[in-house]
Amino acid sequence: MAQVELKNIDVTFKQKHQSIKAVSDVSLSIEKGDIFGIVGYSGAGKSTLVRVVNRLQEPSSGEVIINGENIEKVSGSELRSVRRKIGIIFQHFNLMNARTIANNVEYPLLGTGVSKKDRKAKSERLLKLVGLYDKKDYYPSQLSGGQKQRVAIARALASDPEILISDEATSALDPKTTQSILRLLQKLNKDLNLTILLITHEMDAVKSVCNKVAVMDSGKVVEKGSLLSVFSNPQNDLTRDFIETTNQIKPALRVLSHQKDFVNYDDRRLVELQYTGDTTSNPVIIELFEKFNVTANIIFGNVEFIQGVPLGHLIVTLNGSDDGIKKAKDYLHDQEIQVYNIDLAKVREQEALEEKEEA
Amino acid sequence: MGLFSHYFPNVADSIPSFVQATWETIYMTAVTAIIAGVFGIFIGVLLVITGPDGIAKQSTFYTILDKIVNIFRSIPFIIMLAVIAPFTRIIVGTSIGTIAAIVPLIVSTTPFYARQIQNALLDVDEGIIEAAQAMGSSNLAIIFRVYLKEGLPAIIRSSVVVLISLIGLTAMAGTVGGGGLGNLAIMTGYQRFENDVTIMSMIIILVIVFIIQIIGDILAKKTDHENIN
Repeated sequence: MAQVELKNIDVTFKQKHQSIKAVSDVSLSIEKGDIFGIVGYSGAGKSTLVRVVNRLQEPSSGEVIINGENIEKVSGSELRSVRRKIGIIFQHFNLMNARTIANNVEYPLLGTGVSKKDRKAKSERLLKLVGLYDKKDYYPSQLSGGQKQRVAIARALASDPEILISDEATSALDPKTTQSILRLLQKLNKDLNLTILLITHEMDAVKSVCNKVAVMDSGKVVEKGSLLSVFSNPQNDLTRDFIETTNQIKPALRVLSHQKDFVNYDDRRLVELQYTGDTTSNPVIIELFEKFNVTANIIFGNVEFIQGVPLGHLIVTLNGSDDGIKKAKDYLHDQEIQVYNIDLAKVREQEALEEKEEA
Repeated sequence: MGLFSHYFPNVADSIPSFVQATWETIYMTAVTAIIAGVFGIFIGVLLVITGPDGIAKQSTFYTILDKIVNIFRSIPFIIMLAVIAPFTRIIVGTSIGTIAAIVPLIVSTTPFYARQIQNALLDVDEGIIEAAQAMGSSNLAIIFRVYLKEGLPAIIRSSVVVLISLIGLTAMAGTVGGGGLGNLAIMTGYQRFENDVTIMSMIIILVIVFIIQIIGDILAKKTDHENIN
């Protein structure tokens, strides 16, 4: 049973003369223990969609099922207890300025019948967990952004949620702090078996912690699947754009497209090889030479681990007879290595187009 | 005492009436502040929670309340005194005297204070309200644990503004026999050409205002943890 099940969610904002569809027919299924990334540019409807999960946003149509229970009709105190089981952290932290760090963490427990002593003990335990126990009597304005987000995480955990929504929680942080917050989320996911919904526009964040990902564009989910399948075999152009932001292949191609040696390179001989997992261990480059007398010269390489599985990109030039190269490509294909011809003229065109758009 | 009676001859002769007038001013101010304070906070909170983007949005109710507040704010106090005199008589049994002055003071101060409270609470970060909702807080909990707590420094600052303007209004209460320092300054000081009485009344009012301002500043600073650095 999925922990969070969204079925055909629509959210339409009605204004005086027009209605704007922020989320359109989105169905997602999030399993217990998932770190589920929802990625998209701003305005894609990600934040609206996650607000449907704790009903901060009422869906115009569709169903929200949490742990098998349809929360569409719950209201009042029932809705509030559903919300307590869903923690949320925000881009701008949203800590209460008038409360100390410890009191911020205790806030979700106020009015729930937990004694003052137990509240204190819990906030201290959670602050230790996020590494900020020594700041418990400070006020939020005295902390850095990363520290504030850690407090927000501790606060979100105070009511023992099963699900944590991270709404662009690292978007206002520098790269190093972003990584430390992501590592903390990953640790909580593992230690507490916490299901995490990670909303972000940074594919890097998704890549480093998520096991599943959905890509959103104009209110629709355009692609979803396991992180590895999406990264190794993206179907949608937008997904490809997002993936490109996380590796160095695009910049490498741009550099090549301006280099004299490569400017007029035959696109059948300049290729990008992409491989996943096991195929990496075969010495294919040597095999190409032994079997087809084709030498492969590696111009650029990028290998990364997606959920522990290596995913490699190589840009190589192939030298040999036309027939040999054709056979070599077929062979690579049989080895489940994807081969893409690189057309540097196209890369230059693309670059010129993007520069024009930016100007 | 010699120098004092030289510069303030009439004041020196009428110390008891100054004590009396000061007491009346403080009494009118304090009673009005307490009652208008409660009503003002109540109406201010209602305006915020029922208003656009409020946590208990009620468009029609908000529009009506908003208009009423605007109308009552627009009536000059001196006219208000006269207009609501019959109402005052019903409430306190008389339309003359210190007690009778308090009724129009409350009616005039409440909408002004409500508006100030509304502005103070609207300054509370919407994100914090959303976070509280997401954490399962009820609307009542959000009012008391978030709005009034997070908005406290701004509420204190607005309260000082309203309190000082209230002291200004009490000066007009003399027209219905409400007494106070304003009455003393006009009736005795101005109309009998006893300038020193006018000036001494002003000095006492200034001292009261400064004290309120200083206490307000200290409290606002003490409760404001947002702008510490």
